[in-house]
Amino acid sequence: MIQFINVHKTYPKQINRSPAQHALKGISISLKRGETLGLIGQNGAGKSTSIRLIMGYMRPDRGKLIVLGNENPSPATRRHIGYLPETSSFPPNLTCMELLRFAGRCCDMSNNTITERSDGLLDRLGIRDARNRRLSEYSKGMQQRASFAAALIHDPDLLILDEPMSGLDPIGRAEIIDLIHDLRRQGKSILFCSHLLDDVARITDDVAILHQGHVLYNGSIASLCSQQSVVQGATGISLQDAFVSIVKGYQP
Amino acid sequence: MNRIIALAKITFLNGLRRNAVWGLCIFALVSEICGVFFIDFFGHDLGRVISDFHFSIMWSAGMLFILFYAVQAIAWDDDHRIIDSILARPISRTEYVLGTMTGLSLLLLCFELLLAALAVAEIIWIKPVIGETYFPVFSMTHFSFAWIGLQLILLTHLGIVMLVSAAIRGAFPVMLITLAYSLICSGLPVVRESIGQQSEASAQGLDKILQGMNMIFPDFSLLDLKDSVLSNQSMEIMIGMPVWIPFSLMAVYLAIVLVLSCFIYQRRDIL
Repeated sequence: MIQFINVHKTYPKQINRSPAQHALKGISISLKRGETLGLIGQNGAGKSTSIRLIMGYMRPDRGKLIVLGNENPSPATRRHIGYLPETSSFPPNLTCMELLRFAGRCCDMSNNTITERSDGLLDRLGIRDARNRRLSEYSKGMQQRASFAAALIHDPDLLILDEPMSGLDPIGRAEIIDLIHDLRRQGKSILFCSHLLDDVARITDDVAILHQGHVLYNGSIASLCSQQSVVQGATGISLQDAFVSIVKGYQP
Repeated sequence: MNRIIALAKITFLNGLRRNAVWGLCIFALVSEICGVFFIDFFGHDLGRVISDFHFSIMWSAGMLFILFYAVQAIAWDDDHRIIDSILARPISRTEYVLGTMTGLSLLLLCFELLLAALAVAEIIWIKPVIGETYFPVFSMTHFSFAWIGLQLILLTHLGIVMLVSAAIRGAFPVMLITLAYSLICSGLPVVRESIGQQSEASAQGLDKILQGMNMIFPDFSLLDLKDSVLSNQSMEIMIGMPVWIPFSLMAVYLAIVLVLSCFIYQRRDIL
């Protein structure tokens, strides 16, 4: 579904601002059909840059990025991608239903299909009663759920979830995790970014650790934890401990 | 086409529900109504005063809409990531430009239509009150042409906002550049006229440069047809050319601006 092959990306120097930033330094990771991959790293590791490359907001400077079989993804590729950004930003005076209708119309869905799917999604996400209220009146958690609904309305094959638990209370988080498990069972491919490593461990089998534009690890969580257990001479290493250990042990 | 229409619809709806836009609309309507009282200060040529006043209100309100609302709606910076959410859909950058432009243009035209309707109602009401001496002629056809000319000027400014937003991040720089563009377009014909009256060779060279600049900064006075509202003469005689020529040229200029916007958006990274 997604294949990064030695991808480099540099943000150019800006006048009177920061120097050029080499955000990705030859990363190679992949996400196959039906798999769930956790993309984790510190702030500034290159996670958002990777996501922006997948979504076609930017182009890699070097290397190849293949998304859904296309080396130069066209807008039509996004018909099969559901993207939940870290920070939702929609025209604030729209209602949730109008947003979903817009998202559906962009994917050439009929009005009946949009209505059916949105009813189900909004019910599942617990914001059906608020569907005709303006998004500006929503709480952070409700906006996150509306954003999730917009990402799922067109039944995409590939989901990119960037901090999906952001702004949610514990019950909301549990509901979203349930939903993600359901989506996994449906065979969706999911790229999951989160700073909450407990959630990453619960949801994904494989993980890619980014640090300063490099991939420090790409493989299963179990393998990572047992590797770090050997390195540290301890047992019961969690993903969190393994992550901290591998990042702190990084020598450029 | 579906995606362009869908994006135009949400852009239009978002703007229609914006309190600031309604505030501007109400302010402009009240200003037009107040125009009735201002004519008391003028002793003659009241028809021209009223007509110019209404066109000035429509122009000012349109420019305020463009500089303070449209710029915010289009600009993308750290605070406004709406473009991310829109381009997360299967919408191309070209469809984004055309959809956003269509939505904002519709909103602007609805706003201006409201102002024009009030202006016409006021003019038709005032004309018999003032009498033939001070307000002899009012041509609805010419008013319509003058209104269309004004809308083309405003839509061109909106196109420039789109073009500058494609190249520059941040609402404030976009607003400044659009304002500068407007001022240059207003001032350039005056400068050219002044230079044209000089006979030195250097002035001839400068005139050529200014003529070239005119292709980038068009002379909007050809579309400023408000003087024709109070005349029975045909438009062609008043402006010295068939009326479709300046309209077509401005439409072509606007199309070029939009094509350039699409080109820049296609090429650039959305950081």
